[in-house]
Amino acid sequence: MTPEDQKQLEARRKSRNKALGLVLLGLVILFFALTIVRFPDKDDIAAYQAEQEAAR
Amino acid sequence: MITTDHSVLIPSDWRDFLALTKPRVMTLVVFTGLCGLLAAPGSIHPVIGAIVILCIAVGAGGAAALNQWYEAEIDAQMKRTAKRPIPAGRMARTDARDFGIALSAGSVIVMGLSAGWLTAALLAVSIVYYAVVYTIWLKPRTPQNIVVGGGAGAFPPLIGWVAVTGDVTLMPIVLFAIIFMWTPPHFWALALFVKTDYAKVGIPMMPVVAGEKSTRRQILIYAILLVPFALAPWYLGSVGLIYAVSAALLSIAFVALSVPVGLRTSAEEDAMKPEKRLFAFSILYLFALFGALVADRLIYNAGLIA
Repeated sequence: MTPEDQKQLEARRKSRNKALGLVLLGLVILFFALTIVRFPDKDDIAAYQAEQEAAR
Repeated sequence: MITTDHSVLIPSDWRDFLALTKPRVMTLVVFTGLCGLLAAPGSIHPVIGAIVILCIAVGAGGAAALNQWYEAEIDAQMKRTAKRPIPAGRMARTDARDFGIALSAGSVIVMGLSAGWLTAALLAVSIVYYAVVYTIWLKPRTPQNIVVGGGAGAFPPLIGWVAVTGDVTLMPIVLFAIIFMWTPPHFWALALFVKTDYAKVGIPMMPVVAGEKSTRRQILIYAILLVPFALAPWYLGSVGLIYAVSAALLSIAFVALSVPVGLRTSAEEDAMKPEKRLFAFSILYLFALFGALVADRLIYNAGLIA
């Protein structure tokens, strides 16, 4: 492997790692947003309690 | 064998992974998926809606990657596909397989967590349908492969719709059927004027197997059969006049453009004008039909028309 090849390989590896980093960051944001959106609010808790009452 | 070729450049460029997902096919998938989501009765949280569309797109990308993993040797022999990452030697074949599995599994899991497991199951079915039933099983075996493959492209609006409603009703199945019936005339029109080397690699495409005349007749038959499906949302009472009028006009134009394609025979050195016109219009047709569906529903929901 020539030094040029080595250099090209390293550049490619670097850009690929960057792309992977961005994907992971995106996933972190996605799961955070999903958690906030799906977190039970007052209405959800009321509905759950009503369901429990009905089952009793 | 490509798998044992050590001249493959590792690590592959990230752009090659992106190319593996067929981003251009994805635009139609995202559009029809979004239309299904917007046209469905009920509401969905915008963040969840966005995640659903993302999952449909990533799932389609995963299926496309698996398709190219499986077809690498065929792709290498055809001019149109020889420059894809694996046949061009820019990616190891197993990397494409792993990438495809990761995208497919990831999209199904995230879909399940955000929109529920029925929607996730439908996404999983659509991926398996494209990557296994179509690519591995039926594409190399039958000239009806495009008819079967149309099923894979027909899933997105169904998935988008079910993500909102939570159940599979007749209306999303009608949307599925529209794309299913639309695919053969759309693709065969292209196959008539693009000389591909499918015959060389043993993929039984309709114009090669059944001949041009039979392909033309089938284009016309599918175009006519598509009409009742395109109008179905209206007589099911699910949509209003905006869709009904748009669908009627689009159907008339689609059949009108299919008639010359269906009935003529091409000469030597034919410019294939009617076929090119039909192909171009078929894309417009699908965008316009689904656009009309969404416009119809949004205007109705906004209360502008009773």
